[in-house]
Amino acid sequence: MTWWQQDFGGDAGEPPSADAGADVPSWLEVRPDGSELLVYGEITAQRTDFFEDFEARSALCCCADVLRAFDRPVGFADLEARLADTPYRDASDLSVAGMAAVLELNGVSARAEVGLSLEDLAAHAEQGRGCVIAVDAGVWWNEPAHWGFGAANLPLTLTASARDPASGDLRGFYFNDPASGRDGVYGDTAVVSRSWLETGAQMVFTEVIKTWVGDLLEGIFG
Amino acid sequence: MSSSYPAVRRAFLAAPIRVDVPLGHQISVPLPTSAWPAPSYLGFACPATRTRGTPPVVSAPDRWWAVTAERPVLVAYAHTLHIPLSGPADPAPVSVATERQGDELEEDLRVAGELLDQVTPAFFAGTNVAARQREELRECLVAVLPRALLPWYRAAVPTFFRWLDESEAS
Repeated sequence: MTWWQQDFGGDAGEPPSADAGADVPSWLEVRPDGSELLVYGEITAQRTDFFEDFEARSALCCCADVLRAFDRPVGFADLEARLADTPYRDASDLSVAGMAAVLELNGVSARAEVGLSLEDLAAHAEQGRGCVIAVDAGVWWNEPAHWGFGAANLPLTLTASARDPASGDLRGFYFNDPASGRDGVYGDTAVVSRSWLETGAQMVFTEVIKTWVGDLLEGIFG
Repeated sequence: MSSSYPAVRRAFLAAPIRVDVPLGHQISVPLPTSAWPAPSYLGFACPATRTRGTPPVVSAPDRWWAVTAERPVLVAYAHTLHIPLSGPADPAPVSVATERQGDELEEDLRVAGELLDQVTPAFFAGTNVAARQREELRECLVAVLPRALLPWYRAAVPTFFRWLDESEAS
C-alpha cells in the first residue's frame, strides 16, 4: 500500500473479477522491439476533431472517448448543450469528480476513485469498463516543463491492457492522449507506475461494463 | 513540533479537496506561512493549458489550500474568486519553461525539503537561523520552482520570502 492510499483512505471496493469481461476482445500484438503482447481491450481511434481547441479540452475529450465506447457518440455541441445548466458548463478543464459527473449526465454511470495497483487498472480494461486516469504529463511525455511536482495533471483514456502471452504478467497499457492528439499510445508498467500510481492513482471508471454482443453474434453466426 | 516536509507535501497533495481541482491545473508546492495563529503550509493551483511539445501556459491561481505544520491535515480551502490570494500586479498567463531535467527537479525538491525541515521551526518561532542556511534554501527554491510562477509564490507566502530575503540584508 502506498502513501496516498494510507493518507487518502482510497477504497476501490472489491477487486474486479478477472473473468467478468470474458468477451473483451484480445489479440496478439508484436511490439517494434519484436516482443509479443497479449492485448485486452479495444484500441479505438478518438475523434478529437469533434472538439474545437481539443488540446485544451482533454478531460472532455476523454469523457467523449468513454461515451463513444458505450455507443453514446457525442460531439462538442452535444456535450456543451447537455452541460449548459450544470456546474460543468465551462468545462475547459474538469476534475476527476467532474468527469464522473459528465459521464453520468450522459447516461453512463461512473465514479472517481483512487486506484490501488496497476493490476487494479488492468482489471478495468479486461472487464470492459470505460476508464480515464490522471497522470503526470512531465513523466508521461518526458517533458520536464510539464512536471507536476508530484501531482497528476493530464487525463488519458485507458483503451487496453497488455500482458506477457506466456506468463500473463502485466507489461503495459494503451491509452488515448487527447492533449497530444495521439491514439493507442503504449505505456509500459514502469512509466504508468511513475506517472499514475506514484502521483495519486486518480481515475474515473464506469460502473457499467461494455459488452460486445454484436461481435459475439458475428462469431457464432458468421 | 512540525511534521517533516515530505509528510506535509503528501498531506497537501492528498487533501480531500483534490477531487474538486481540475486535472490540468498546475499545483504548487506548499510553503510555510505565518499568516494564521497555527503554523501552516499554503499552496495554490493555477489553470493551465497543456500541449505536448510546448511548455504549459499557466494562468493566475484560481484556488488555494493549506495544511497545518504540526499534524498535516487540511485546514483551509478557497477559490480565489471568493477569498483572493494576493498576487503580482500583472496576472497575465505565463509560459512555464524549464531547462532542467525531471530527475534534477526531483532532486532539487528533495533537497529543498531537507532545508525546509532545518529552517522552518525557526521561521515559525520567529527566530533567526544562520544567513547561509536561508540563502541556501532561497537558492534551492529559485532553482526548483518555475521562474514564471515565482511572483505568485512570493505573493502567496510573503512573510516566508521576506524572512528568507533577510539573509541578503544581514
